[in-house]
Amino acid sequence: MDHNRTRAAVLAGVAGWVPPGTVTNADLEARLDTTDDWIRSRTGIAERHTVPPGMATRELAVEAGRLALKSAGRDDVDAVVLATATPDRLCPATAPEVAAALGLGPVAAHDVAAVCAGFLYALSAGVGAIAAGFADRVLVIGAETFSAIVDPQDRNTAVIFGDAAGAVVLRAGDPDEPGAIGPIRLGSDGTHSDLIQIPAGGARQRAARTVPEPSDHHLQMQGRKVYRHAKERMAQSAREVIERSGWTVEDVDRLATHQANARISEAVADELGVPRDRVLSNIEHVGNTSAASLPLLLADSAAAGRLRTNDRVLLAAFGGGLAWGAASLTWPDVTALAVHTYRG
Amino acid sequence: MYESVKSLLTNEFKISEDRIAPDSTLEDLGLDSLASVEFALALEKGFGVEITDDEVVELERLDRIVELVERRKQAS
Repeated sequence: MDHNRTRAAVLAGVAGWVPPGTVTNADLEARLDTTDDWIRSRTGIAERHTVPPGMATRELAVEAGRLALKSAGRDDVDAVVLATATPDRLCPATAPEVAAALGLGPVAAHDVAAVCAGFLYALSAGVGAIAAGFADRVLVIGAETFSAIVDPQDRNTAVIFGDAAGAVVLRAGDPDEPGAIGPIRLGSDGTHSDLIQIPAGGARQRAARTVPEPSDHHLQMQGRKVYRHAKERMAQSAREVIERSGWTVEDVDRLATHQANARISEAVADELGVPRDRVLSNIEHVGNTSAASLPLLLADSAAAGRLRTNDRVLLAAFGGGLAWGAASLTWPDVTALAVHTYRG
Repeated sequence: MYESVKSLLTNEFKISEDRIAPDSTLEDLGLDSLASVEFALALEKGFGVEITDDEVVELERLDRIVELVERRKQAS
Protein backbone atom coordinates (compact mmCIF):
# COMPACT_ATOMS: atom_id res chain seq x y z
CA MET A 1 0.00 0.00 0.00
CA ASP A 2 2.69 2.41 1.02
CA HIS A 3 4.33 2.57 -2.39
CA ASN A 4 1.09 3.76 -4.02
CA ARG A 5 0.92 6.89 -1.94
CA THR A 6 1.58 10.01 -3.95
CA ARG A 7 0.36 12.43 -1.32
CA ALA A 8 2.28 12.18 1.92
CA ALA A 9 1.76 13.61 5.39
CA VAL A 10 4.78 15.67 6.36
CA LEU A 11 5.76 16.60 9.90
CA ALA A 12 5.66 20.42 9.94
CA GLY A 13 5.69 21.20 13.65
CA VAL A 14 6.46 19.44 16.93
CA ALA A 15 6.13 20.40 20.58
CA GLY A 16 5.98 19.10 24.13
CA TRP A 17 4.56 20.52 27.33
CA VAL A 18 5.22 19.24 30.84
CA PRO A 19 3.15 20.51 33.80
CA PRO A 20 4.63 22.17 36.89
CA GLY A 21 4.05 19.63 39.70
CA THR A 22 7.16 17.55 40.40
CA VAL A 23 7.31 14.17 42.15
CA THR A 24 10.90 13.06 42.75
CA ASN A 25 12.02 9.59 43.81
CA ALA A 26 12.76 11.08 47.23
CA ASP A 27 9.09 12.17 47.46
CA LEU A 28 8.03 8.58 46.71
CA GLU A 29 10.50 7.13 49.22
CA ALA A 30 8.74 9.17 51.88
CA ARG A 31 5.33 7.57 51.29
CA LEU A 32 5.94 4.18 49.66
CA ASP A 33 8.03 1.09 50.34
CA THR A 34 10.57 1.98 47.68
CA THR A 35 13.96 3.62 47.19
CA ASP A 36 15.56 5.95 44.68
CA ASP A 37 17.97 3.17 43.71
CA TRP A 38 15.17 0.63 43.22
CA ILE A 39 13.22 3.00 40.96
CA ARG A 40 16.24 4.14 38.94
CA SER A 41 17.66 0.65 38.39
CA ARG A 42 14.32 -0.82 37.30
CA THR A 43 12.85 2.07 35.32
CA GLY A 44 15.50 4.77 34.68
CA ILE A 45 13.11 7.37 36.14
CA ALA A 46 14.22 10.13 38.54
CA GLU A 47 11.18 12.41 38.46
CA ARG A 48 7.72 12.70 36.96
CA HIS A 49 5.31 15.64 36.74
CA THR A 50 1.70 16.26 37.59
CA VAL A 51 -1.02 18.72 36.75
CA PRO A 52 -1.96 21.39 39.29
CA PRO A 53 -5.54 21.48 40.65
CA GLY A 54 -8.02 22.57 37.99
CA MET A 55 -6.00 21.21 35.09
CA ALA A 56 -6.60 17.95 33.22
CA THR A 57 -6.12 16.43 29.78
CA ARG A 58 -7.83 19.22 27.83
CA GLU A 59 -5.51 21.90 29.17
CA LEU A 60 -2.43 19.73 28.64
CA ALA A 61 -3.49 19.05 25.05
CA VAL A 62 -4.19 22.72 24.41
CA GLU A 63 -0.75 23.79 25.68
CA ALA A 64 1.08 21.24 23.50
CA GLY A 65 -1.24 21.89 20.55
CA ARG A 66 -0.67 25.63 20.69
CA LEU A 67 3.10 25.15 20.76
CA ALA A 68 2.99 22.66 17.85
CA LEU A 69 1.00 25.13 15.73
CA LYS A 70 3.58 27.80 16.58
CA SER A 71 6.36 25.39 15.64
CA ALA A 72 4.62 24.80 12.29
CA GLY A 73 4.26 28.55 11.73
CA ARG A 74 0.51 28.39 10.97
CA ASP A 75 -2.48 28.21 13.26
CA ASP A 76 -5.03 26.56 10.97
CA VAL A 77 -5.74 22.85 10.59
CA ASP A 78 -8.57 20.75 9.14
CA ALA A 79 -8.65 18.14 11.88
CA VAL A 80 -7.56 17.45 15.45
CA VAL A 81 -6.77 13.92 16.60
CA LEU A 82 -6.15 13.46 20.32
CA ALA A 83 -4.57 10.27 21.63
CA THR A 84 -5.39 9.77 25.28
CA ALA A 85 -6.19 7.04 27.79
CA THR A 86 -7.29 9.71 30.25
CA PRO A 87 -10.02 11.71 28.52
CA ASP A 88 -11.61 14.39 30.69
CA ARG A 89 -14.88 12.44 30.60
CA LEU A 90 -15.89 8.99 29.33
CA CYS A 91 -18.26 10.83 27.01
CA PRO A 92 -17.88 12.98 24.93
CA ALA A 93 -14.41 12.95 23.41
CA THR A 94 -11.95 15.60 24.61
CA ALA A 95 -10.63 16.57 21.16
CA PRO A 96 -13.59 18.85 20.19
CA GLU A 97 -13.03 20.90 23.35
CA VAL A 98 -9.33 21.11 22.54
CA ALA A 99 -10.09 22.31 19.01
CA ALA A 100 -12.51 24.91 20.37
CA ALA A 101 -10.08 26.12 23.03
CA LEU A 102 -7.38 26.52 20.35
CA GLY A 103 -9.81 28.60 18.25
CA LEU A 104 -9.56 26.23 15.31
CA GLY A 105 -13.21 26.55 14.31
CA PRO A 106 -15.62 23.72 13.53
CA VAL A 107 -12.95 21.27 12.37
CA ALA A 108 -13.12 17.48 12.59
CA ALA A 109 -11.96 16.38 16.02
CA HIS A 110 -11.86 13.00 17.70
CA ASP A 111 -10.05 10.99 20.36
CA VAL A 112 -8.04 7.84 19.84
CA ALA A 113 -7.83 5.28 22.64
CA ALA A 114 -4.78 3.05 22.33
CA VAL A 115 -3.10 3.85 25.67
CA CYS A 116 0.70 4.01 25.31
CA ALA A 117 0.55 3.21 21.58
CA GLY A 118 -2.03 5.98 21.17
CA PHE A 119 0.22 8.50 19.48
CA LEU A 120 1.14 6.13 16.63
CA TYR A 121 -2.52 5.21 16.16
CA ALA A 122 -3.45 8.92 16.11
CA LEU A 123 -0.58 9.62 13.74
CA SER A 124 -1.92 6.96 11.38
CA ALA A 125 -5.36 8.61 11.49
CA GLY A 126 -3.76 11.96 10.57
CA VAL A 127 -1.67 10.40 7.82
CA GLY A 128 -4.76 8.62 6.50
CA ALA A 129 -6.85 11.81 6.44
CA ILE A 130 -4.17 13.60 4.44
CA ALA A 131 -3.47 10.66 2.10
CA ALA A 132 -7.19 10.30 1.39
CA GLY A 133 -7.42 13.99 0.62
CA PHE A 134 -10.02 15.02 3.17
CA ALA A 135 -7.55 17.08 5.17
CA ASP A 136 -4.53 19.16 4.22
CA ARG A 137 -3.34 19.88 7.75
CA VAL A 138 -3.89 17.82 10.89
CA LEU A 139 -2.95 18.49 14.51
CA VAL A 140 -2.07 15.20 16.24
CA ILE A 141 -1.80 15.41 20.03
CA GLY A 142 -0.96 12.93 22.76
CA ALA A 143 -2.01 14.14 26.22
CA GLU A 144 -2.32 12.26 29.50
CA THR A 145 -3.29 12.93 33.10
CA PHE A 146 -2.19 9.63 34.58
CA SER A 147 -1.95 11.18 38.04
CA ALA A 148 -5.76 11.02 37.97
CA ILE A 149 -5.91 7.24 37.43
CA VAL A 150 -2.81 5.92 39.18
CA ASP A 151 -3.18 4.69 42.76
CA PRO A 152 -0.69 6.83 44.71
CA GLN A 153 -0.15 3.87 47.08
CA ASP A 154 0.65 1.36 44.32
CA ARG A 155 4.42 1.29 44.15
CA ASN A 156 4.38 -0.59 40.85
CA THR A 157 2.60 2.16 38.94
CA ALA A 158 2.99 5.31 41.07
CA VAL A 159 6.73 5.37 40.43
CA ILE A 160 6.34 5.09 36.66
CA PHE A 161 3.65 7.36 35.29
CA GLY A 162 3.57 11.13 34.81
CA ASP A 163 1.39 13.79 33.20
CA ALA A 164 2.40 15.59 29.99
CA ALA A 165 1.42 16.37 26.42
CA GLY A 166 3.13 16.35 23.06
CA ALA A 167 1.90 17.24 19.59
CA VAL A 168 2.82 17.36 15.93
CA VAL A 169 1.35 19.18 12.96
CA LEU A 170 1.08 17.21 9.74
CA ARG A 171 0.67 18.88 6.32
CA ALA A 172 0.15 17.47 2.85
CA GLY A 173 3.40 17.12 0.97
CA ASP A 174 5.65 14.94 -1.10
CA PRO A 175 6.65 11.38 -0.05
CA ASP A 176 10.31 12.12 -0.78
CA GLU A 177 10.73 15.26 1.29
CA PRO A 178 12.22 15.23 4.81
CA GLY A 179 9.48 14.90 7.40
CA ALA A 180 7.26 12.67 5.24
CA ILE A 181 5.80 9.98 7.48
CA GLY A 182 6.93 6.66 6.02
CA PRO A 183 5.50 3.19 6.55
CA ILE A 184 3.40 2.65 9.67
CA ARG A 185 2.73 -0.77 11.20
CA LEU A 186 0.07 -1.18 13.89
CA GLY A 187 -1.07 -4.25 15.79
CA SER A 188 -3.20 -5.40 18.70
CA ASP A 189 -3.91 -8.45 20.84
CA GLY A 190 -7.11 -8.17 22.84
CA THR A 191 -6.64 -11.58 24.42
CA HIS A 192 -4.31 -9.83 26.86
CA SER A 193 -6.55 -6.84 27.60
CA ASP A 194 -6.25 -7.51 31.34
CA LEU A 195 -2.50 -6.85 31.51
CA ILE A 196 -3.01 -3.07 31.61
CA GLN A 197 -6.48 -1.96 32.66
CA ILE A 198 -8.80 0.14 34.77
CA PRO A 199 -11.45 -2.47 35.61
CA ALA A 200 -14.18 -0.12 36.83
CA GLY A 201 -16.08 2.80 35.35
CA GLY A 202 -16.71 1.42 31.87
CA ALA A 203 -19.84 -0.15 30.45
CA ARG A 204 -18.77 -3.70 31.33
CA GLN A 205 -18.57 -3.10 35.05
CA ARG A 206 -21.62 -0.81 35.06
CA ALA A 207 -23.74 -3.24 33.03
CA ALA A 208 -22.81 -6.05 35.42
CA ARG A 209 -24.16 -3.83 38.23
CA THR A 210 -21.39 -4.99 40.50
CA VAL A 211 -19.89 -2.82 43.20
CA PRO A 212 -16.25 -2.34 42.25
CA GLU A 213 -13.37 -2.47 44.70
CA PRO A 214 -11.79 0.97 45.23
CA SER A 215 -8.62 -0.32 43.54
CA ASP A 216 -10.65 -1.19 40.43
CA HIS A 217 -10.93 2.53 39.68
CA HIS A 218 -7.16 2.76 39.36
CA LEU A 219 -4.75 1.64 36.66
CA GLN A 220 -3.61 -1.95 37.16
CA MET A 221 -0.60 -3.34 35.36
CA GLN A 222 1.16 -6.73 35.29
CA GLY A 223 4.67 -5.44 34.70
CA ARG A 224 6.58 -8.62 33.90
CA LYS A 225 4.11 -9.88 31.33
CA VAL A 226 3.89 -6.44 29.76
CA TYR A 227 7.68 -6.29 29.48
CA ARG A 228 7.85 -9.54 27.55
CA HIS A 229 5.10 -8.60 25.10
CA ALA A 230 6.45 -5.06 24.75
CA LYS A 231 9.91 -6.14 23.76
CA GLU A 232 8.79 -8.73 21.24
CA ARG A 233 6.00 -6.67 19.65
CA MET A 234 7.96 -3.44 19.35
CA ALA A 235 10.98 -5.21 17.90
CA GLN A 236 8.85 -7.10 15.38
CA SER A 237 6.88 -4.07 14.15
CA ALA A 238 10.07 -1.99 14.05
CA ARG A 239 11.75 -4.62 11.87
CA GLU A 240 8.80 -4.54 9.47
CA VAL A 241 8.96 -0.75 9.24
CA ILE A 242 12.72 -0.82 8.61
CA GLU A 243 12.15 -3.25 5.75
CA ARG A 244 9.22 -1.34 4.27
CA SER A 245 11.25 1.88 4.48
CA GLY A 246 13.94 0.26 2.34
CA TRP A 247 16.41 0.71 5.20
CA THR A 248 18.73 -1.62 7.04
CA VAL A 249 19.24 -1.49 10.81
CA GLU A 250 22.48 0.44 10.19
CA ASP A 251 20.46 3.19 8.48
CA VAL A 252 18.57 3.98 11.69
CA ASP A 253 20.18 7.16 13.06
CA ARG A 254 17.77 7.51 15.97
CA LEU A 255 15.47 5.05 17.69
CA ALA A 256 12.56 6.68 19.54
CA THR A 257 10.60 4.18 21.58
CA HIS A 258 7.66 4.90 23.84
CA GLN A 259 9.23 5.87 27.17
CA ALA A 260 7.72 3.09 29.28
CA ASN A 261 10.86 2.01 31.02
CA ALA A 262 14.50 2.66 30.10
CA ARG A 263 15.21 -1.07 30.20
CA ILE A 264 12.49 -1.89 27.68
CA SER A 265 13.88 0.74 25.31
CA GLU A 266 17.38 -0.70 25.67
CA ALA A 267 16.12 -4.26 25.25
CA VAL A 268 14.32 -3.30 22.02
CA ALA A 269 17.44 -1.53 20.73
CA ASP A 270 19.58 -4.59 21.56
CA GLU A 271 17.07 -6.93 19.96
CA LEU A 272 17.09 -4.85 16.76
CA GLY A 273 20.85 -4.31 16.82
CA VAL A 274 20.60 -0.51 17.08
CA PRO A 275 23.58 0.86 19.06
CA ARG A 276 22.58 2.29 22.44
CA ASP A 277 24.04 5.73 21.59
CA ARG A 278 21.36 6.08 18.90
CA VAL A 279 18.52 5.56 21.34
CA LEU A 280 16.64 8.73 22.33
CA SER A 281 15.54 9.02 25.95
CA ASN A 282 13.91 11.54 28.27
CA ILE A 283 12.28 9.11 30.71
CA GLU A 284 14.62 10.14 33.54
CA HIS A 285 12.88 13.52 33.75
CA VAL A 286 9.28 12.79 32.74
CA GLY A 287 8.53 9.11 33.47
CA ASN A 288 6.04 7.18 31.36
CA THR A 289 3.59 9.69 29.89
CA SER A 290 1.66 7.15 27.79
CA ALA A 291 0.29 8.70 24.57
CA ALA A 292 2.24 11.92 25.19
CA SER A 293 5.51 10.04 25.36
CA LEU A 294 6.63 9.87 21.71
CA PRO A 295 5.85 13.45 20.59
CA LEU A 296 7.34 14.75 23.85
CA LEU A 297 10.47 12.64 23.27
CA LEU A 298 10.78 13.95 19.72
CA ALA A 299 10.34 17.56 20.84
CA ASP A 300 12.79 17.23 23.74
CA SER A 301 15.38 15.44 21.59
CA ALA A 302 15.16 17.91 18.71
CA ALA A 303 15.29 20.90 21.08
CA ALA A 304 18.38 19.41 22.75
CA GLY A 305 20.14 18.79 19.41
CA ARG A 306 19.96 14.99 19.79
CA LEU A 307 17.72 14.80 16.73
CA ARG A 308 18.88 16.67 13.63
CA THR A 309 17.62 17.43 10.15
CA ASN A 310 17.89 14.39 7.84
CA ASP A 311 18.31 11.90 10.69
CA ARG A 312 16.48 8.68 9.85
CA VAL A 313 14.16 8.09 12.80
CA LEU A 314 12.45 4.85 13.80
CA LEU A 315 9.47 5.16 16.16
CA ALA A 316 8.00 2.29 18.19
CA ALA A 317 5.38 2.09 20.92
CA PHE A 318 3.52 -0.49 22.95
CA GLY A 319 0.80 -0.38 25.57
CA GLY A 320 -2.54 -1.51 26.93
CA GLY A 321 -4.99 -3.19 24.61
CA LEU A 322 -2.61 -4.71 23.94
CA ALA A 323 -1.78 -2.30 21.15
CA TRP A 324 1.51 -1.45 19.50
CA GLY A 325 3.07 0.05 16.42
CA ALA A 326 6.08 1.44 14.62
CA ALA A 327 6.72 4.12 12.01
CA SER A 328 9.61 5.85 10.29
CA LEU A 329 10.48 9.27 8.99
CA THR A 330 13.45 11.36 7.98
CA TRP A 331 13.63 14.26 10.41
CA PRO A 332 12.70 17.60 8.79
CA ASP A 333 14.13 21.07 9.31
CA VAL A 334 11.74 22.07 12.07
CA THR A 335 12.00 24.21 15.20
CA ALA A 336 10.88 22.01 18.08
CA LEU A 337 9.31 23.71 21.08
CA ALA A 338 9.68 21.87 24.38
CA VAL A 339 8.35 23.61 27.49
CA HIS A 340 8.99 22.00 30.86
CA THR A 341 7.16 24.40 33.15
CA TYR A 342 8.69 22.96 36.32
CA ARG A 343 12.06 24.27 35.23
CA GLY A 344 10.64 27.78 35.57
CA MET B 1 22.35 -28.59 30.66
CA TYR B 2 23.38 -26.91 33.92
CA GLU B 3 26.70 -25.89 32.40
CA SER B 4 24.95 -24.48 29.31
CA VAL B 5 22.60 -22.40 31.44
CA LYS B 6 25.57 -21.28 33.49
CA SER B 7 27.43 -20.05 30.42
CA LEU B 8 24.27 -18.27 29.27
CA LEU B 9 24.25 -16.43 32.59
CA THR B 10 27.92 -15.50 32.34
CA ASN B 11 27.83 -14.52 28.66
CA GLU B 12 24.48 -12.81 28.27
CA PHE B 13 23.81 -11.59 31.80
CA LYS B 14 27.44 -10.81 32.74
CA ILE B 15 27.17 -12.70 36.03
CA SER B 16 30.56 -13.83 37.33
CA GLU B 17 31.00 -17.61 37.54
CA ASP B 18 31.76 -17.65 41.25
CA ARG B 19 28.30 -16.23 41.97
CA ILE B 20 26.56 -19.11 40.20
CA ALA B 21 25.73 -22.33 42.06
CA PRO B 22 22.95 -24.92 41.63
CA ASP B 23 21.13 -23.57 44.67
CA SER B 24 21.49 -19.90 43.64
CA THR B 25 18.21 -18.01 43.68
CA LEU B 26 17.31 -15.32 41.17
CA GLU B 27 18.01 -12.80 43.91
CA ASP B 28 21.46 -14.33 44.56
CA LEU B 29 22.17 -13.92 40.86
CA GLY B 30 21.07 -10.28 40.96
CA LEU B 31 18.17 -10.93 38.57
CA ASP B 32 15.28 -8.60 39.41
CA SER B 33 11.75 -8.98 38.05
CA LEU B 34 12.46 -7.63 34.56
CA ALA B 35 15.75 -9.50 34.33
CA SER B 36 13.87 -12.72 35.18
CA VAL B 37 11.73 -12.13 32.08
CA GLU B 38 14.91 -11.68 30.05
CA PHE B 39 16.21 -14.92 31.56
CA ALA B 40 13.03 -16.79 30.54
CA LEU B 41 13.29 -15.35 27.02
CA ALA B 42 16.97 -16.33 26.80
CA LEU B 43 16.17 -19.90 27.93
CA GLU B 44 13.45 -20.13 25.27
CA LYS B 45 15.77 -18.85 22.56
CA GLY B 46 18.80 -20.83 23.71
CA PHE B 47 17.14 -24.20 24.25
CA GLY B 48 14.09 -24.08 21.97
CA VAL B 49 11.57 -24.60 24.77
CA GLU B 50 8.60 -22.65 26.03
CA ILE B 51 9.05 -21.28 29.51
CA THR B 52 7.19 -18.42 31.14
CA ASP B 53 8.56 -15.75 33.44
CA ASP B 54 6.02 -16.89 36.07
CA GLU B 55 7.62 -20.35 36.03
CA VAL B 56 11.11 -18.93 36.36
CA VAL B 57 10.06 -16.70 39.26
CA GLU B 58 8.12 -19.47 41.03
CA LEU B 59 10.92 -22.06 40.73
CA GLU B 60 13.33 -19.39 41.94
CA ARG B 61 16.37 -21.70 42.25
CA LEU B 62 18.72 -22.30 39.34
CA ASP B 63 18.78 -26.13 39.69
CA ARG B 64 14.96 -26.26 39.59
CA ILE B 65 14.85 -23.97 36.57
CA VAL B 66 17.43 -26.14 34.78
CA GLU B 67 15.36 -29.21 35.63
CA LEU B 68 12.27 -27.65 34.03
CA VAL B 69 14.20 -26.72 30.89
CA GLU B 70 15.44 -30.32 30.68
CA ARG B 71 11.90 -31.70 31.09
CA ARG B 72 10.54 -29.37 28.43
CA LYS B 73 13.33 -30.23 26.06
CA GLN B 74 12.71 -33.96 26.44
CA ALA B 75 8.99 -33.48 25.92
CA SER B 76 9.47 -31.51 22.71
